Amino acid sequence: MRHFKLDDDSVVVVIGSGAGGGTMARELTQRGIKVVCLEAGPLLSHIDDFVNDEVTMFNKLSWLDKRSASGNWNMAGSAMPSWTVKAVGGTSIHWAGTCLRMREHELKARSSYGEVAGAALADWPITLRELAPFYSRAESKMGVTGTHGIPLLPGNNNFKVFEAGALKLGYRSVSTGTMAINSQPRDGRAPCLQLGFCFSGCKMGAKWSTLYAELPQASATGRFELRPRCQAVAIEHDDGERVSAVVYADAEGRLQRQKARAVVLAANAIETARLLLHSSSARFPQGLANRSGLVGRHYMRHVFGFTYAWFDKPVHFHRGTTCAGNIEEENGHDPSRGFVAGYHLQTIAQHPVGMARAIAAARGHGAPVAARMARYDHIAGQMIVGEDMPVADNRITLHASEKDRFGVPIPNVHYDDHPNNVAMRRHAHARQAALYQAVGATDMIQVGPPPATHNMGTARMSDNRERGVVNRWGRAHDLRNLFVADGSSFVTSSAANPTLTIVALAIRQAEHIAHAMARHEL
Amino acid sequence: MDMKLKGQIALVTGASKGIGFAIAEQLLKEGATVLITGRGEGALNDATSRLAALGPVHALAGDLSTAAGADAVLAGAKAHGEIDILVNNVGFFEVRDFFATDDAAWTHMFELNVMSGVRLARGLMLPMLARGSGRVVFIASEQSLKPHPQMAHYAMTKVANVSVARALAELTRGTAVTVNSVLVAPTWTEGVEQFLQPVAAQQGVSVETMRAEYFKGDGASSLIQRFAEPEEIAAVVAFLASPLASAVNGAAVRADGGIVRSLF
Repeated sequence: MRHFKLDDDSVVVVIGSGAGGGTMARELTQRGIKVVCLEAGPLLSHIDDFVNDEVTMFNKLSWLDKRSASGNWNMAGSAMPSWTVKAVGGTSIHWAGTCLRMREHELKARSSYGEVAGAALADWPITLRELAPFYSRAESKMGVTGTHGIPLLPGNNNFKVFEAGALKLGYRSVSTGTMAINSQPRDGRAPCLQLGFCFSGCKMGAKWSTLYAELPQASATGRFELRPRCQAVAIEHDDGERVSAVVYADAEGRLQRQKARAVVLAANAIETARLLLHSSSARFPQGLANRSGLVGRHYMRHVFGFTYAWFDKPVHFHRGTTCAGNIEEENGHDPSRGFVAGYHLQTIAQHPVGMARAIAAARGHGAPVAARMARYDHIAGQMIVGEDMPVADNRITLHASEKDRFGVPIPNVHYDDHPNNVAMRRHAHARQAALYQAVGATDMIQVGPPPATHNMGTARMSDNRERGVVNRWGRAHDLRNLFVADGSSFVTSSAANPTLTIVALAIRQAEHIAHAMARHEL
Repeated sequence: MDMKLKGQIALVTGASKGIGFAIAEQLLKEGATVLITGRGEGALNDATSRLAALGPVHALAGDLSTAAGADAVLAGAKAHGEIDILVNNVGFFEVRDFFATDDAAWTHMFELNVMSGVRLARGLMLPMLARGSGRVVFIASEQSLKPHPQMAHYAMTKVANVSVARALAELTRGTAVTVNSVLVAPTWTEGVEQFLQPVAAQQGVSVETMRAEYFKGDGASSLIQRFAEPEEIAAVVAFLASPLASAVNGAAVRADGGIVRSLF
């Protein structure tokens, strides 16, 4: 791998190596641009270091740095309100592989849904027409089933229960869905053998992750340096409109300063906002690139919810793809349901520790948990992924007193569940219950959202510099060479799992950056 | 007192008249949406039009003594959304000599008075348990505790209601769902009046006399010394159906006018 000097200001510094940062690294280096990627976590090998043990992998992969949480949600008071990954590959190691495109009406949320009290809805500055070619390229790169002639995945038992119930309710769209999990050999990676444990990292590399799909391609260009265990702590700027360097703590905890031609921030929406807020200066007293005051605001995490049902016969829902099962029909805008926007119903399996926690939350500790866990193999599971309302006061802020070991204040995540979310979750839970009841469920529990893996909105995109942190290219309004390439730039959440859109936007953004550099504008 | 029932959806079975009608009326007054069931469409539609002024009420015709009838009611109910409250009220009674009560009479009594509630609870309770909230109320009788030999089959079904309610309450552990039964006093309804008319005529006395005489004979232990009014029962049911009754679960609540002479 190439090594760049700390004072080499010809490199683009990418912060984060997940879906946004990892994609950006490959796309930029393949266009002849030099990239240094700072990744807070270690470099693991999926072959040697990944094991099919959820607890071991949770401890090995998770971003466990302390956070705080406030608001009316169930994560208030938690030190881990969000479940993301701290390792090379970022949360693309943990993700389920679900690849849904945002729909036209979702990209025009304000026009589609009208004024919703307490929500700061806005239309995206880009249209589906502009985005569609990049979605297509992302789907090709990621090997998404059901696109580019790639066959769908087979359904596991959890899916078969889901499918049977869905058909009884008249949901004709039910399928194993568009998944970035190989259903056949592709891109030098093996097909899925239905091992399960998707959330623990795909040991066989069938599920797309930047760890083994994008970053090796970046390395192969000879223009890429990956610096694992290097956690960014601040971004510095010059006297003009440019960022100039990134200060980071290296593996030994020493602070280093890497000069940069441009900086791409892709640290996941909580850390991206935290870094900007912490990088305040005399010229940016509210935080870097935060003249709009919007950095950290409009934090979204999707309307999540779960239904677990017990059946007379074994399901073994933990076997096979954790999340391959999707229903589209509820993802329209139909206000007659009592809420705006829509949601997806998707299959999900829950590992035993998580399952026991869910049962205890719904039914109490002790005997209720023991009796149901004894029939763990008889459970089927479903999740809701619905559009979250952007609320200005749902936001990331710097904690007033607590700091991490590098002296950076820990982030506080404040989130109040919008009434539209509550109504949507209630509707979706009822549909999930009806689905399982239609195929003979004998017991059911429904639980609210877990720590969010889908983090969005904290550096909102807008053509108007007063209404957004970044422009249509994800470039900061206040700084001409600072870009955001993760879910932070999302204007609204849509009901689509965010990764595909993050990757599509990163490809588009890389092309924009490369053109701007070719024209010496950067 | 606001019973906090606004916007909730209740299903009340056997609500064309009598106690069921009064329960529907009470829930509507408290702001609930009420779905009422009945066998005869004429009486059901009549009840619906009498209740319509009070709030959103919908009729679901169906014979709950059959599985097919219960399925039809369940399908109709689900079209209105999630059911928050299920009141298993439907049932009939008759006075019949034990030795003249044949198998068919026993079976029919069981199908309507017991299986109706079982079928509806089987269809509606799982979603309540899943989301962790809901109310199920079974209408039982003082006959659950002091069976009269002239109503052995009826009394049997009424104690079965109490038993089923308690068993279902056991499923609600750890949730905010409750299942209770109400032991109803002898209540003066159109049904009772119609039943007594021929008996009174046979004995050459007025219905009014029989109404009063009851409390000198079988009803002697009653503390209120009168038939209860349907509204008095409905008030208890509405309370049990409301969020206010969140600590009452698995109970057999006595609205029996004190006729059952026991502490518990």
